[in-house]
Amino acid sequence: MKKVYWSMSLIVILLLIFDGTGRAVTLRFWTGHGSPDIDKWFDEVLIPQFEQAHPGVKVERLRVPWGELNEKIMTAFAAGTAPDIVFSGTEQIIDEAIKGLARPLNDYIKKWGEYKNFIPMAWKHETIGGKIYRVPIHISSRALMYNKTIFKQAGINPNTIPEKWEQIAELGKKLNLRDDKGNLIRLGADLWYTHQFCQGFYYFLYQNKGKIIADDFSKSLFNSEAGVETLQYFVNLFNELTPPNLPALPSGPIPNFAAGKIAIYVNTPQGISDLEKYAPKEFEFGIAFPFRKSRIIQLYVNGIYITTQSKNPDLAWEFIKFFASSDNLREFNNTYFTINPRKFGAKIDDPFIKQRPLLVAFYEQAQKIGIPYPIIPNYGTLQNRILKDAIDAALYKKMTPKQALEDAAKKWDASLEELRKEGVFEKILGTK
Amino acid sequence: MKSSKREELYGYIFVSPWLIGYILFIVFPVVYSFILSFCKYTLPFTVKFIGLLNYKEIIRDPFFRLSLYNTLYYTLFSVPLGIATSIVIAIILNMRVKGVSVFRTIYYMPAVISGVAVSLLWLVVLDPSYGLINYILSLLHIRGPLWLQDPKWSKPALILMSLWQSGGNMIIYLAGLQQIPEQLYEAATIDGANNWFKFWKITLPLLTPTIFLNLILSIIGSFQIFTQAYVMTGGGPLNSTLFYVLYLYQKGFQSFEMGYASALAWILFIIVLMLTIILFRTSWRWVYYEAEVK
Amino acid sequence: MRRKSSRRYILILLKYLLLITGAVFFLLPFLFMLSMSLSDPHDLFQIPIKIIPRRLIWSNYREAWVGYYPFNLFLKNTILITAIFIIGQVSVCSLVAYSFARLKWRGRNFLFTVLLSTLMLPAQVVIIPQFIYFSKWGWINTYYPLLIPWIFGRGAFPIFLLRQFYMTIPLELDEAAKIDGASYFQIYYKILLPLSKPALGVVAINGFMFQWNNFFEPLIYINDKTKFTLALALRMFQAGEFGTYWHLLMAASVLVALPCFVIFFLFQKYLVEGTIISGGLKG
Repeated sequence: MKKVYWSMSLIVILLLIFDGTGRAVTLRFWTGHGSPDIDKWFDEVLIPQFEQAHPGVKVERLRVPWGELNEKIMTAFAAGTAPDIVFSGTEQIIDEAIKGLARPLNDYIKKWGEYKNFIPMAWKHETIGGKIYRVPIHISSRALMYNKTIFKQAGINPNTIPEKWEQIAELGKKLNLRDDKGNLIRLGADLWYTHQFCQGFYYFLYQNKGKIIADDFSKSLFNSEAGVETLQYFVNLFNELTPPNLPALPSGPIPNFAAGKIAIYVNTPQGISDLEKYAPKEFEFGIAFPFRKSRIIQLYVNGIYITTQSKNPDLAWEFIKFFASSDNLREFNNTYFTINPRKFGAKIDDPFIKQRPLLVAFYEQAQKIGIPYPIIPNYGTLQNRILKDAIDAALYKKMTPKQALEDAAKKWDASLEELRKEGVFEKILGTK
Repeated sequence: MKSSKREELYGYIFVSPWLIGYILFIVFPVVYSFILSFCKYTLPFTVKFIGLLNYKEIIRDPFFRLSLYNTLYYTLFSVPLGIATSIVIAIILNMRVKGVSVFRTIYYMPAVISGVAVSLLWLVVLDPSYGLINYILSLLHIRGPLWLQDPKWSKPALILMSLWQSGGNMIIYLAGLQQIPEQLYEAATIDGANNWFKFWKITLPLLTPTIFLNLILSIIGSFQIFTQAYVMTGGGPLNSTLFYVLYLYQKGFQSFEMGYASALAWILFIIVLMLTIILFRTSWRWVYYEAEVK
Repeated sequence: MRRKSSRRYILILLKYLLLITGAVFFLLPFLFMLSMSLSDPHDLFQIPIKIIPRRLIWSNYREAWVGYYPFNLFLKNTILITAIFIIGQVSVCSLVAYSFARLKWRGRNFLFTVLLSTLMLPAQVVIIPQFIYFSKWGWINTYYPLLIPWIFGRGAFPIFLLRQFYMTIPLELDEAAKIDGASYFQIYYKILLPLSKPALGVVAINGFMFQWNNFFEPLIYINDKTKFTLALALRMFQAGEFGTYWHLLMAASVLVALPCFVIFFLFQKYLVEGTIISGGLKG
């Protein structure tokens, strides 16, 4: 009996050791964004500096992979163990506002006085129903990058700028290369940015002067003629370059575009760092801003918020202020290769950016033709189910683009109707 | 205290860790999930009783039907094929074979690793251009399918992967085979029976109890396939590997529609239960029990 | 006479041919995994496939283990959880099985049937309510949900196995001990337990394999990266920005799978013996 008793107690004691309890004031900071360089910057620069300036405070950073960020946050909220500060992505702002995850920051921001130093478009994205839920930290975007060296090798004038849709399709077809077994050696054009077809679809839809959803969220607009045209364009290109009966391009440690395995690629500004790291020296890259009926570039504004469950909101705000200060924000954006949401005036004088023509192009176009990324309630359902399945059905020729989008619009409208009944839109639009 | 009363007391004491846990972690949750299946439960923590609405929605839900189909397809092929493979291997290994322990180890090894590690391995094994399987097929001048990239071949790919791990059950059948008394075989040989006869009339019938148990547990297990789909395909392509438990997970832990997910769980339970009952009821036809042999 | 023996030779040849072909099929993926884990990333995804890499890059293992994520920490976590799991199941389930096998009490057979029925319960029916009240108890992001329900309440298979095994141990041993004045617990502890080593071995090994590779539950319950298990870490490695570093992914997979092989090799005898003894019992 005694031995059992002791071993049982040992088990219980061991289990109790795993009770996570913190001691000093700890700010828990979750971020969906990061890269080895950014993680290093957080852990070796930003956080130590903040902790030094605030003795007795510890910042615990946790990086959560993108696909799981929503889940983890919801689980944490459900369990009452939500962190203090969350640095999340573009689309999440709507959930953060509606589901009561983020704390409105209007009072803090008023006292801060830095509001006017940021691009207005950035604040617009983070403000819902008059309440500002996040402070913008970085802006990402999408543009077409192409490998001038491959153009030259294939006998195409390297000064060609692939801007028009037909041009892109033609070049893509010409540059697509397969071996005799059907294995893909070089993909001519990849417009869907690592298979996130929905985001690719949105980008080109807006170039075609289409919209995803009505401004009052009453119905879907992606099944318009512009939408059908866009999807048809995708379907044609996809089936020409990567028909489903032939193998796709595998991904290796060296990103395919940087390795020259893709000739034309919808890329982000962050992708520029991959090019600098991995691309062979002899590769020359160009950037183009495709358009059809309107010249636009989407601004993916990413921000940071204080959770409604945080027990130290003032301290959390101190951290956010510190992070969003002029110097730190510049360092962050230069390390991450993203667009700084702070205004830069008429010309860019930051030497880091100036030496990188691809990055300069992003900054300039963001200011000139940038439009905010659309706010979509319940975007998860739309993208991961309804629209994704519709696009897949069209790509695999199970339905025509028109049928697929009509079907998706019907489902999405039904879902919107349910949201309306729950009063979600009143919250967003700030009206009754 | 009377000794039988003492025995009873100790009986209860020793069984209590299980009993308490059973009530806490099985009975309560089962009842709770039953109730929850009639409610709408999403963040933030509002539980609303909505009657049969979840179930009505499930019937109309194309993903419910699709995930059920995918799971049934997988089960229908992987279980019988797996059992057959395990039995064949067990029989061959049971014969006097040189180096039996080496072979036994080799055949069992794939079942030793599981979960994420084996999923990652088969992700590369199944690569259409550079993977092991298509490479070997190409040596035989066969153009291999696109496996996980092709909606028609994604489930067969996972079934193949499960067959690779059928060595795990082989041991159970080896054990079952060794239970069969030698005399039966000797008697049959004396009567002039050939190997085929011995297999069908002696080996297989006497293995049926083992097969029966293995069948039930395998079906229950394969109905719950999750990790491979989560890690390797995410449910695609074109939702061809959207298995039931993956869909349940998405509904419960990604969309946090816990009422709906509970309803899904109960439907799974009922299906499994019905299958088990049918198997038990029909078992008298084909399962041999000790008593009958005697 | 001659025809019969040549037929026998053909059968034997066929048998070995089948065995060897099968063995190749079963072994090749492992070789492939090893080969990729030792390759230079530039040599991956090439046709024809080189099973033996040009150069054996052993540093891949080091790079995979320490270069990106703290696998040592994950190893520690997994060892801890697995050890507690095994100790817990072996000690608790053997005691419960003893009660079912040797002690007479009202409702015993009924509860045993109940226990068996839980084998057929799909885990998903209990997962959501368990998740809900584990959240309320603050057990999310701890290891309790991975251990407590399995040790107390859900260990039906170990209990079943052990009970069947005990039934093969002659009652006379119990009687003799009782005459010598042993208590019920002592009978369990001093007589049954030492004799049931093979069955305990099976329980321990199965427990190890289960918990070492457990993915679904840690996925739901553990949020904090510092508390990840190896299975979660491997997944994180794949889903993260290093997800295309196949040489490292394979190296990490080999390392994670290695303990399973070691345990299997060391305790093979137990596994086989235990399965034979308990597999032959059709309850």
